[in-house]
Amino acid sequence: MKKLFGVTLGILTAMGGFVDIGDIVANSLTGARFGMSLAWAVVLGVVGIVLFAEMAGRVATLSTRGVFDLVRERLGARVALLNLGASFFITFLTLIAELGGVALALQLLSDVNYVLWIPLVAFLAWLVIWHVRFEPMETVFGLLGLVLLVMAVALWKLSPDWSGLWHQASQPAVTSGEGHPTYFYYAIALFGAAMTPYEVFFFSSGAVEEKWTKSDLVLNKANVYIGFPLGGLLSLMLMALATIVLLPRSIGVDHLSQVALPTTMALGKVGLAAMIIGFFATTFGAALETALSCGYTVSQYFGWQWGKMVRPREAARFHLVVLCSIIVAVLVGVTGIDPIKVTEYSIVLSAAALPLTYFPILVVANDREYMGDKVNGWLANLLGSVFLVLLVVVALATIPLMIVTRAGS
Amino acid sequence: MRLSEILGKDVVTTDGRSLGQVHDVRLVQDGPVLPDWGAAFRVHELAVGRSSFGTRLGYGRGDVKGPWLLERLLARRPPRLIPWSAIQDLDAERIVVELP
Amino acid sequence: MSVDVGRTVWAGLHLMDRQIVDCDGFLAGKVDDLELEVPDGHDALPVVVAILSGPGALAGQIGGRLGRFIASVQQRLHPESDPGPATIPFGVVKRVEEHVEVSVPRHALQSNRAEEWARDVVIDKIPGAGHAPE
Repeated sequence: MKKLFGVTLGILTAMGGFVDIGDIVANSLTGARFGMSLAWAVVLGVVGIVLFAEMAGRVATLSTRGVFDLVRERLGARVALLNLGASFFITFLTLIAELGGVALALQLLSDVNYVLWIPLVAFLAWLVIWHVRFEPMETVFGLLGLVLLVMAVALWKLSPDWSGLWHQASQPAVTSGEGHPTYFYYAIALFGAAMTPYEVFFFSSGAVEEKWTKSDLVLNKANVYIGFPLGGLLSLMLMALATIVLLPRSIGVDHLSQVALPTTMALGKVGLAAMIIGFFATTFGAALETALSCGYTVSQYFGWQWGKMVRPREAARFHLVVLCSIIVAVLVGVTGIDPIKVTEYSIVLSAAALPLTYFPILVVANDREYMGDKVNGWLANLLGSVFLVLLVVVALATIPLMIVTRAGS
Repeated sequence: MRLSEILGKDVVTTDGRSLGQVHDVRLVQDGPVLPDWGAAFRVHELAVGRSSFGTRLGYGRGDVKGPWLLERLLARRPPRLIPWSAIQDLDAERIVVELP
Repeated sequence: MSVDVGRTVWAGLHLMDRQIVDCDGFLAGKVDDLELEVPDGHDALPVVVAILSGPGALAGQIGGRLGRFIASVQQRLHPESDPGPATIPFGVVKRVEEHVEVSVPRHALQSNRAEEWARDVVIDKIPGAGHAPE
């Protein structure tokens, strides 16, 4: 019974924790411009993150080592340092985006400009990281993020043409007035939003923080196989709502208010309130995850003590990196840089950097020294290989597409 | 001397033929006794070959097997083992070895 | 103490870049390089005498401009004028497996100095640094 409760809790947490500012922006924005015709990119991204997060969780559980520790061991100090540079930069960019996202949610609530909220939000995030244990921290914000399920009610209330939506999603075609490069640029954005590297850094380090053992591998599978796809469903709801309400009215997405608009139309003030709470919980949770991931990646590369399972003073350099990352993110954030734009760049650049994270995981998941009999089976290896090819193609296509489409404009 | 001064270095034969780079170094624990540890590791052989990336990842020597795609791309011919005693010269640029 | 004399390991695969763990289970840096000593005598094989850990050793492995940059930063920040990389003699190494286990607490290692600096100068000044997360 207790086990079942733990598994359910894990699934729900993974579901709520799946969504972050990247998913919110990418799904609404593409729904408003392309309808459901890019839903396949979300599905593909979810399959990818499920596949590799399961491997990363399994690797971390059996080796009790964080991903970047193993990246260094496999790629050598030099190549791994370049990898660290790119991965850290993207995670840091995502941290700025998440902090901005929380601030935008608070602006919706208070009419106080988001720039003023950023330092306060950042301080709160640091305080939580400093004081709260890993498990409650992850659970509270994951569960609170489930408030976004209000979107399901909103969808039902708006009684859309379901078969039309399904038709758009199942027989995708480029919307008239949009070019193929732009279409694929946004496909990459959705893909990157679903597979953002920090999710793997955080998820695998979390397995070590929570001292998972072989018997927790069931939990790993449940979280990933059930929780992440349900989280992906939340993403698709955002896209569907934007398709129904924003697309016909030619409303673009450059603020969270447009993201919340369909739900507000359907359910009034209650809908808006729920959406704001959902935005806050998911982006704040993700701000914690990205800030921690900044510390995880650097510390694991250099072999420093990391994690919240020890006292802060026992992981001094780890906490110093987290603290500095948050401070610099605030300094960038308060320049008035547009959080939505930062989000777009962070997810597209994430897509370009995906092979850096996922390639070493696939290799170590086949290493018997660490994995014993829990190495990848043939199916995981087949799908993993197919995805690795896909990730390389995406990575190579991203920057040219970014230039050709002038970042999707 | 440091290990990093050997790893990755170009290896040529005395008659000028290039053999690739040092992929790895095989250590055997049969050296003089170090206090509180026991027999020291000694360098016995250099693993030399071309394209060291796959070797570094563990393909061909360690416990890494699969997936098929990566094995095909990365698992090259196993590196050639050259005994330390074959080294004629070791400078900042390269290692010169004499093959029997 | 090691019992399996005659054991073979690959220095790059099994030692370089591996995690160092201290006697209390704390992570204590990476194996950034190995110190070799070539004894006199014609057919003498080089002996691995110590593990090198920390930025001074890492710089050598990185090499190139970036390596020189890391080395210069380390030298500037270090109290001694020509510090050289921190060494971990094999006398304190307990086991070489998936990670390298040492038989002393990490503060006994030279390579831990930067961690202590971060703790004493920054982290300990913040209230709550010594509390286990609640």
